[in-house]
Amino acid sequence: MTDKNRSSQMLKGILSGCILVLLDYETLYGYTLSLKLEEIGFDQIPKGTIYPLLLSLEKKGFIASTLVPSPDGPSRKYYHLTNSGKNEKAHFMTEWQQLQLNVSTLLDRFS
Amino acid sequence: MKINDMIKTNRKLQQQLTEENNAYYGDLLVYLRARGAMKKEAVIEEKALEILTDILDAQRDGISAEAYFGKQPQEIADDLLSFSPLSLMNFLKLALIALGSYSLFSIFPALIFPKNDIDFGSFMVVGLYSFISAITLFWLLGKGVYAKRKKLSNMLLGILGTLLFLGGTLLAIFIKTPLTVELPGLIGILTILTLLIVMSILFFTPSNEDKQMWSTFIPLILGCATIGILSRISYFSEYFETTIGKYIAVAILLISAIFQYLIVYLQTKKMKNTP
Repeated sequence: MTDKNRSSQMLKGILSGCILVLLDYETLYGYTLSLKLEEIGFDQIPKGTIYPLLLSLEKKGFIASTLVPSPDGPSRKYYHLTNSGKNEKAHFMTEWQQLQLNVSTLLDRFS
Repeated sequence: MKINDMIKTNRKLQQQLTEENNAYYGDLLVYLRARGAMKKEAVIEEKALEILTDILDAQRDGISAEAYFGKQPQEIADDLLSFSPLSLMNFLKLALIALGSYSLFSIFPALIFPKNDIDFGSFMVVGLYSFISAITLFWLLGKGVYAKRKKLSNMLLGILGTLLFLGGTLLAIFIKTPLTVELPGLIGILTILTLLIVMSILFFTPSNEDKQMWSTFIPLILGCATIGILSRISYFSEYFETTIGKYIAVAILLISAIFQYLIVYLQTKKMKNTP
């Protein structure tokens, strides 16, 4: 695996977790989800990246979608978390907090 | 939403894109459809429509499709395709439709004169060849969308398409198999009528949303069927052996071809005028 692939895989994993957190807070469709991610600080990531992630999360049963009519045009596909998605979100948060703690400890001691 | 409805909505919404965004999205759509031929069509079309509506939202906010979706759409499309489920059944269905349509449409010209043998073996060989050619062209079409030399790639695809078409025509002319059947008189007439009924059922089936495309073939099929039936009725058959009779047969085919051209012309005009 190249460095680029490794970092890209890592980023996709983190982004998937962030998507689960956001969707647990409110239902969103692709464009609004991309705006939220941008707002948080993921502004350098091409927004196209979220579509394969949404498909993957939907395939795993972590999220589900509903078509909602929109006054601005065609119906929008709003995503929400499923029960198994809520478990996965909790799992992601625990893993992330542990990872964050480990990296902080490492940096405190050796930098 | 049904697949055909998604395709229709997609086509309609694309008209709202700016020229630049339309070119960007058009490439992405061709790539997804061509490389996703063996994937579940509903998933591909659903994602394509979802991306389009979001690109339109971005466009309303003054963001271009490239700035929104990314500078490497091929990479993202490959990711999307890798998460789309395979559908071997869809692929087999497509293959059967391609083979069936080819056989139905090519059998009518072969049934014009009762003395001509119908070579079912040849139909099967050319049908299989057409199917493999179509899949190859489809695969290359997807590969060419994001090729560095796009114009060259399109030109090569055009040349290959022409060569494959010529190859198919030559195969149809020269391949002879022992699986031949002669269909004179009443058997021939009954075969033509049965085929016409089968085609009508297929054409008027409620799920057939592509009536407009198939309707272009109707005049020529009806022309061939009319000559095929008349030339098998003893009252007319001798007449079709004479020079005038042959001229009349050619005239019927020419009129059918003119009608076919008119239908294509009117449909193209209608498509251009559709907002």
